[in-house]
Amino acid sequence: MLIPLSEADGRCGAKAANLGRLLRAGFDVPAGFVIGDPIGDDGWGQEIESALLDLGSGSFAVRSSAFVEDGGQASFAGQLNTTLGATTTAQVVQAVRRTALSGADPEVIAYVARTGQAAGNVVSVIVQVMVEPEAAGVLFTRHPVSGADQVVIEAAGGLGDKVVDGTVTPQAWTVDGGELTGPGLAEAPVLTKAQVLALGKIGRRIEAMFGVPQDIEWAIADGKIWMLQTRPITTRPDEAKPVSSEPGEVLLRGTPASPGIALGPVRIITGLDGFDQFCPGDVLVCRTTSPAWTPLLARATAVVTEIGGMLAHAAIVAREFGIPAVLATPGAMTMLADGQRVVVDGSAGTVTARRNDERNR
Amino acid sequence: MSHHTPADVLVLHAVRTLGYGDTAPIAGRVGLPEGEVREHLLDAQARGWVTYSSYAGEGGWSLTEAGRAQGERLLAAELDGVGARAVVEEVYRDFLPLNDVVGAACTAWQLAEMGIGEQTVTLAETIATLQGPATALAGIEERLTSQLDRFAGYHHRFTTALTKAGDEPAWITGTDQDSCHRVWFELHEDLIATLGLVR
Repeated sequence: MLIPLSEADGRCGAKAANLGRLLRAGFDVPAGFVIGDPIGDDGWGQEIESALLDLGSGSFAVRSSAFVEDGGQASFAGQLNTTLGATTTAQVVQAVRRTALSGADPEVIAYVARTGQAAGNVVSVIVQVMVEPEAAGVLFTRHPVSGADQVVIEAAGGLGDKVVDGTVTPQAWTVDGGELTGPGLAEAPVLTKAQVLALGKIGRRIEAMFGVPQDIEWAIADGKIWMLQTRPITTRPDEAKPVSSEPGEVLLRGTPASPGIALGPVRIITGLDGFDQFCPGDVLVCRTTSPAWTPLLARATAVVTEIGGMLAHAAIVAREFGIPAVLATPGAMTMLADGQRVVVDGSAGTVTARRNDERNR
Repeated sequence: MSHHTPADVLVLHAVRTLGYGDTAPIAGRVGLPEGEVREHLLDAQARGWVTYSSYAGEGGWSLTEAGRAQGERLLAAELDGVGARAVVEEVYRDFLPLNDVVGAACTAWQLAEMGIGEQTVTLAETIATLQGPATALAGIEERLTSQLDRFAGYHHRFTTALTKAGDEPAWITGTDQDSCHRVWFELHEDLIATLGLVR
């Protein structure tokens, strides 16, 4: 059975239920429908053609209605089996089947293949009109690491999938009350100030509606802001602690990725051949890290990278070693100087000059 | 039939994915006798592709920039020789969303262990979340090893770490053991190296 997204509730999977709630509250969500049990209920096969016609021509996005936390396998598979850009009915039907089956464990798939009957583990599937965004990304209504009560927006041009795959550093803004901080002037911003403020307001309204801080995916197409997904932030840090960095000039800001505060001399390492320049206790400053860099991180007092984010390998390794990390800090390798003493605050995401200290050498 | 990578290429590539390690762990990774691996490493050192350094009494091999570039040339030639580029590119596209799941799960678990956060995840939830990528890794490895047999082993290593994590949580993100994150990080590096991508 097909259920219009505007009527989706808890029986349709968490993602569709939340989208239904947003629609009913008047937020802009791309039109679509949910197939409650694509494996067990074959009735949707007859309904889907006219349902797609109702949505209009163009391309469609087919996604699982399960979130990551809904249970590892179903959720990850839902992500893996998102199909973007299906245009024909046949393509949509095929994508729906693939997404639904991806949520099942191998035994269930074997059972379904053998008997043609479904067995539990139902994954609802969402079919929506695909927006072709100028910009897309995520927003958090609470800082996901520091817990500060501010809206954090990450954006990139085009489809939003680039923001989460970790290979592109998104542009980031924070909206703290009426105060707005954005990316440096070096790059052309993908969002206007008005769009950032509008996103901030929408985030706050959705948070108020759900009653807990939200992690929201959005897209902007033809100037209009669309909501693609919202869910509670599962790991909510304690209330923001006051920043206790040493006083001094804040030289750089980036993504706070591993908590703690540490002081040390900057060592800029541009590549593998620079490893022998690194001394224990240095603040490692680099573009990004690979497995080869782990011995440096093990001896670093802190790490600052130019690209990456909260979930990057460098962040995970830094937390493992218990050293502060500030990631996605564009210009770190050119704006800092070897030997310069800095305080790295991995909770606030700042690199601060040590006061009363010569700037260099 | 799956392509078998020559030993000298395997050894140079293992230095890249391992990042830093002495002869014994490199030999363990490529499944060749230590004496043979040492010969390949000394050859590579003579050509300026790897370097040996010691930190606090422990020595290990790591790649030079020249070695990284040479490794990428060899892997690219192999990939195109076998005609496997399209398959590996497709696998990499499927890998990226999984990478996000693994990164998020590792991050959530670390923050929980640090006591940052109210609604923190439990070890059992973290292991359950990582079961998804673990299952998918079997399919990913199968697609890769159907072309290049050097990709064998990631799934076994990952699931071994995940199994041990129930009793010893350090197997999730530990850096001094073959933890889930470490295995995953190496696979990411392997795919990046194979496709000649820049992180």
